Amino acid sequence: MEPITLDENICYYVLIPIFIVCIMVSFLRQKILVVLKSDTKVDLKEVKNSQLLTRAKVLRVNADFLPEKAFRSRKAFFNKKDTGAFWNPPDTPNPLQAMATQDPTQVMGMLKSQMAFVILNGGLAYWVHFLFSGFLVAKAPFPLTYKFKFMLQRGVDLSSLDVTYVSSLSWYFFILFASGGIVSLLLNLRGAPQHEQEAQDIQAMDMINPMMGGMAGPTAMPGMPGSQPDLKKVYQQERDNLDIVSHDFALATVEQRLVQKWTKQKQH
Amino acid sequence: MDEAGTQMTLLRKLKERMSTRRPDEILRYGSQLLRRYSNRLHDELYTILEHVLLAACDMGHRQWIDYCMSALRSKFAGSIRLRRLEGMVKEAQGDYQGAKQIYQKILEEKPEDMLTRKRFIALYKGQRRMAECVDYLNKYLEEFVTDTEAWHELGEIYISDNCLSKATFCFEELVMYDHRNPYYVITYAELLYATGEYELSRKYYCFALEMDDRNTRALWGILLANEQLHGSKVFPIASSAASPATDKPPTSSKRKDGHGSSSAANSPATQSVTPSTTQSSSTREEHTARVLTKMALAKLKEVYVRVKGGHAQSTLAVLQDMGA
Repeated sequence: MEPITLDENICYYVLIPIFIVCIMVSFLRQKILVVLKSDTKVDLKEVKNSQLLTRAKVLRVNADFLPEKAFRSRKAFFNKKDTGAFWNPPDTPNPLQAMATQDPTQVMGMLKSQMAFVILNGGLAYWVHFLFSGFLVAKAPFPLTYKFKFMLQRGVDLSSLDVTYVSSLSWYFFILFASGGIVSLLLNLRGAPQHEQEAQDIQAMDMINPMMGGMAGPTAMPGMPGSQPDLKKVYQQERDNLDIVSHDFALATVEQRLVQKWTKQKQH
Repeated sequence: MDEAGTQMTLLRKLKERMSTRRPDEILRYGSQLLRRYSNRLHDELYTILEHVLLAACDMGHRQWIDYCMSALRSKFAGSIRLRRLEGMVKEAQGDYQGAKQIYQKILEEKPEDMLTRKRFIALYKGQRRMAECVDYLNKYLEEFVTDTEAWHELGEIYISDNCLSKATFCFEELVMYDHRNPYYVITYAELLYATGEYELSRKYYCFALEMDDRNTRALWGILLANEQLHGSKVFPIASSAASPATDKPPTSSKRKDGHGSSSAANSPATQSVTPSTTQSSSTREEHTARVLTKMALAKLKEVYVRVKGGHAQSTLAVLQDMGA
């Protein structure tokens, strides 16, 4: 098939403008999110629970480095019947009730950041579609299978067209998903080291959240009450895990090991 | 170029010292940076301001405190971090009541703020109100049970209060979270020794030595623990004098100094690695103790031979007396 040559002007007036505008909008979105970000309220009880679970896990993993007595007393703290920490889960309010009493600002915060995302990206997609629909802007320098057609040629319905050509709308999506690295690189070049982590967090968040849409919300967001698994079950499981652990003191023969090690050192 | 160069070196020197607690040096480099290049530091400016402020608090340097506070205030008015810093300045000036009020206000708004809670602990400690400090730490640890810093602080306070078994618990916790930290392990071993668990104590000393075999604290610890377990017969001189006919060649006491001897000290040790099975467990234990003592003495000698100064010389003499 005859290769299609793309006009040079397409590069100057379509490819590069879309790229620049996308990057700029990413910047803008980041700034907006920083402004809109409201402090998430942390529930102290939840913190306490998760810390307890972490401690139990650490105990499980590093049990061998503790003397048996120490291990037993810690295990008893968690597992002792009726009085242990894992026998008395704090009551979790049922989800519906929690919904009703939940802090509305939290929902507002999420709504705001989602709105920012929807408006900006939706607007941008509309803009690209409106101005540049029907353009082929680039060609991939390597062969691709037919399945890529839907990904690379959105907005251009030509069944006979070679798969390696990229349409303008697909180019836009491509930049949208790939711009995260470039944006954070540019931010760092401008010298904002202490905000780095924050920026990445935000980026990771706004990349993932809107993908999930509103429906997947409850399971994905840690702040939502629906996400709270049943503590009774979690505790029960952790208790079983702790019961299984057999304490095998790692330092039982440490003297011999040390003597051996030193002897070897001397011989060399 | 020179301007930028000096700025960079100053910045580097400051950053090296940020993690150490040397307020005089931080203040020295930080103040130079702020004086000369404060308009060229961009976002880094605020980190430096914060560090210089804390250093100035430590040193009691009024003018820098005021300067840094006003600079930070103009940028971050009302932020919790700034308010916490305000509290710390008050603490440094001795206004504990004012500091406490600030912290309480922050906690009312944000009860999960760990750093502010820790300020309370520091506040009590600064006033030497240890009982309250311990109470608060315990309450804090109930909520944030995985905070090793707090466990460490509590352990140290218990040690200084002579509550050794409670301190032992704290350090157990620390060893559980990070058993690759020789400092935790050694301190735990020392606490076990102090509470009479000599055998366990020796195990943890050995464990620390597996990580770093030049650790004199652990080496002396082994000697002490062995002495407690078996009396002075584990020392080469004593053992050879008391029972010259046992499995040990009596040469050990006659050994002279120098490096050749330390390798010779090893030959009985090589045999002892695989003790014959006919030995009863108690004598085998004793044997291990002897070998360990001897090797620890050799190691200690190795370490102190390299150290210059009269102190090391007298230590070497002591080691010689013990049979190294």
